Amino acid sequence: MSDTLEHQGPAHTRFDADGPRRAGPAIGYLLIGGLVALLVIASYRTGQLGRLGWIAVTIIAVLAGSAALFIGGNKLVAQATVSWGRFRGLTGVVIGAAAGGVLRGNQSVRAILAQEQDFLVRETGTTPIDDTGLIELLTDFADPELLTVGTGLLGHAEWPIVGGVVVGVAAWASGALTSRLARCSVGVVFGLGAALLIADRLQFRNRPDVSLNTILIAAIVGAAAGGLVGIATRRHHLERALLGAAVGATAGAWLTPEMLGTGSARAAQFAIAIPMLLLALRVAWPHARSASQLANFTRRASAVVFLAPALGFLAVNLIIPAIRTLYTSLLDRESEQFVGLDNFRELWNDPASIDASEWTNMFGSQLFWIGLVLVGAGFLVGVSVRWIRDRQVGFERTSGSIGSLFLGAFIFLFAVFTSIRGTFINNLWWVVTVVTASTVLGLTIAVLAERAGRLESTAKAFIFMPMAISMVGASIIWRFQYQARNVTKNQTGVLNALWIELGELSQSGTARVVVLLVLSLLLAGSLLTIARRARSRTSFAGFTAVSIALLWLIVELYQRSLGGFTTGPNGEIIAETVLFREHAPFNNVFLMVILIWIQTGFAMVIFSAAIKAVPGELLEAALIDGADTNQQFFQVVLPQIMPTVGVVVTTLIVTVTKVFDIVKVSTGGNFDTNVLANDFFTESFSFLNRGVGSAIAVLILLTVAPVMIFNVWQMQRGDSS
Amino acid sequence: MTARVPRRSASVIDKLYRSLTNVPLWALWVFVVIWTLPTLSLLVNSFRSRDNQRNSGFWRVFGDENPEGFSVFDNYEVVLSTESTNGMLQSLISSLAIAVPSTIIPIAIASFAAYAFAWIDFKGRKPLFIATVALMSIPMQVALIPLLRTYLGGAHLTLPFSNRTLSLVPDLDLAGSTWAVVLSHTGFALPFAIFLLHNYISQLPGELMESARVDGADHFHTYMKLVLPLSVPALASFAIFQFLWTWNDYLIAATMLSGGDPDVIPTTMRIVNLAGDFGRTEHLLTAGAFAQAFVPLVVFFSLQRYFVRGLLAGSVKG
Repeated sequence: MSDTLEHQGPAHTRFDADGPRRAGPAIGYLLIGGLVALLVIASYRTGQLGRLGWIAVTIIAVLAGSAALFIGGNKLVAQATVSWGRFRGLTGVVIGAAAGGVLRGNQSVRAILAQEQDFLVRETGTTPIDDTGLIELLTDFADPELLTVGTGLLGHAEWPIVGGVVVGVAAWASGALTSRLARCSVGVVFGLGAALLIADRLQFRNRPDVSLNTILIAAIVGAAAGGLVGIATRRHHLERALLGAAVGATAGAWLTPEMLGTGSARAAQFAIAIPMLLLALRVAWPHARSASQLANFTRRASAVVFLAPALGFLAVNLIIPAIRTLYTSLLDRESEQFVGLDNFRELWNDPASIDASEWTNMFGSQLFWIGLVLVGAGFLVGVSVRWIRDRQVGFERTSGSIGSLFLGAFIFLFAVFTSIRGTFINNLWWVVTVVTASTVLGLTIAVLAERAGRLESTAKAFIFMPMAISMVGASIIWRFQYQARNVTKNQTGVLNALWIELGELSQSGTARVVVLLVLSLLLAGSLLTIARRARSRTSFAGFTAVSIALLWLIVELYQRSLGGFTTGPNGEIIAETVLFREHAPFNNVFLMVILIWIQTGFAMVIFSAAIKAVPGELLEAALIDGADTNQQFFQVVLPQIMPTVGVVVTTLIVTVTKVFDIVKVSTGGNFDTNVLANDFFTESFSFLNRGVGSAIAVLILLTVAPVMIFNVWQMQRGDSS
Repeated sequence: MTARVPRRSASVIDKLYRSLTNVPLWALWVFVVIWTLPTLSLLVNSFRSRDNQRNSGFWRVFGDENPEGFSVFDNYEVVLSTESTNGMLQSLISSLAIAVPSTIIPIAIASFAAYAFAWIDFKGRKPLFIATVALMSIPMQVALIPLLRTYLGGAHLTLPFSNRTLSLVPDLDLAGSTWAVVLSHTGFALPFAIFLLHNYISQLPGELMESARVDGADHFHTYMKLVLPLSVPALASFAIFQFLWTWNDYLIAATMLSGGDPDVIPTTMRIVNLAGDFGRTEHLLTAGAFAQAFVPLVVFFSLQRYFVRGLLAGSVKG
């Protein structure tokens, strides 16, 4: 990611240079205006103007509320430098009100003044109950979920109000009074008062059965721990000890008893009052801050205000749910029993995940041998080019050697992935194919587009366009390309139409001969070019590839074996379509094509910017040194854009690992095309197996974890350098 | 005579050779055609009648014989009509109701955080920033189900080492509502948004911040008066990115909204439903898919520059 940061340079200067001022806003406003008009007309036609208005109002309300919170937070922090007492008081009001709300919201305490009306919650709804004996019984012993209390507005507001006032005044005193004795006295009085009020109104079922000794011992242990932290950090020994004591006392009072609801009123008073007193002392003890401490504090406080919304959202929406998923992956399907790694074991042992039983098919596969031959050829080319050029033993990187090594390895992997099957393998296959193909195609198109002159941006826009289309939309688009209709009818999918057309061609008379002649002529031209290039010692790898392809076409056509047809029982020729989406295992590749179609534009844009950033002097210097196009690319351009290749590849890996929409819409995971993300969806929503669903999600996380770690490592390295 | 023939044949070979060495440039246009053809075929077919779509490929569009009273917009009429059970129009509104707040809310929240990471000096800033950005590649699947359950029944904290539960967020009954989708999008978008905006905001000139501080402006005022107006281009880049992302999303919508009120489902879900309805309405799929893609394509083609910049500035989005 630090590499992206490095690439920011040119992008950012352009940000500044022609910013949004040129024509940007006009189009933008026009666009937004048009969309709004469209929206209003559409909702009018569907009779949903009301809904639209309601949506707009909620959006504005939410935004205004959030803005008010943010501005309020900032104003609060600004108060710290003006008046420490007022800052503390206001903060206290907020904290006290929130604490009161949580207490009441959890039905931990009864109302103070309001008349309570009790409701019995049943599955169908709530029923008011008047029988006081029954209420007592339910309040004291029954599951709290069964009984809710309705008290009207006052009943909901009184605890937050009382909490806000009490904590606010105490906190104000702790900031405004200069005498430590006065501060502590106010703290003790208000702390005790609040504690007694809470203890008095505490529901019986919440009374802890705990002795004073237990609380005190826990408080002492906590104080010792806090004090040790204070000694270790060499600051605020007493404050840390007090805070530790408060935490210890709370834990001792509320976590040690086996169950709540059996304690005495006295026990409840101790359990609330002791932690409260310790906390009040902790807040009241320190003297007002010095100017430099205050500046430090304001800075940290504004960091909190600026970061809290984002970090809060991340915690609630991402981190905590992710931890819960890690946890539920160890539980059974209803998340009730702990089953250890059983879910993972089940996935691993399922032949649908990995099925290697037919791995020997690999050796019967043409791809296997083609791949091996290409790898060998690439190696030979690399070694012999180095030998011819420099009379040295070594490996020369040329488009021929690198190209065929790469292609060979790629084809070889296809042989592996078509013989060993399963969801895991499909995922791996997706990653290998889509990442490689999108990167190579993106780089190729970016290099080609460099020479297109005026039309460069037009060409790139068309390649890039699929990025704007949803994966769902893309799958629909390609469904029509892949469509196979009954052979007695016209083919409507362009691919099958071409394929059947080819089949007819290879069965025809004169047309076949003409095409054969043209192909032979092309082959001759290509071979001649190779000869010329070999003489002038420029690269002929591309033409070798073209020649091999032409030769293959010619042989196939000559043998009348090209295209979609089959021979019937009586020797008659019947057209035959390709079932692109149904025919395993290569249907996987046709689904991958959809993602390649989308992601090539992404790779192209990034590479295009990187290539433009390669300094021209480097290329010129290489040219003067007598470098040919190959050497220029492999020894000058490629090393320069290598960090970008890293960025593109890691980004693509993360995208491909999560691929879901395409598989879901195209095949639904049938016909041997299942991938992890689709499996996750099926397990979670169709089979309602939370355990295995979570385990699959964890597996997806584990697959991208190396990329994550790599990125973090890169960023840290970028920071230190 | 004999001398002329080889010369002529040499020039033919010369021409062949030259056209072959020109391969790259026309290869580019071959790529362009291959990349455009699928979308184009969808567009062409969306204007053809059911019979024509079923009887011949899109390339035969000029040989079409249309039934009496057929107009090229008929498919769109059906897909976008109010009576239509396919309800594409409702979905377009729902998609906007999801995409607009899911774009605005993260922008605001992320720009606060990006400013704090760039210009407020506090302890542990760098590790915290790296940790935040590392969340970018976390797959959504890991968080989706617990998130759905939070929306279903509120958030409750089970205290460690005891079986006591404390409710932190009451059940707001968000499941199946647009807000569940919006909140999820906001959470998932934040790491990328913070990364992208931080890249930009951290490169604003430091002297500017310094002089503001000398003038007595606190962080709030520096942010509101200085940073926010200056970072509009970066905000625009992210806005386009996020709008396309949320408009095109299927996974989150399908998780949060399936089985709920069919009126609130976005276009992507509607199309998947339409696609599941084989045969009978397949000819409407073309128009439906294009109606869905129309909004992002317009946004993309008119604001492409910002989109590309956003991509370049933060090409690590998962």
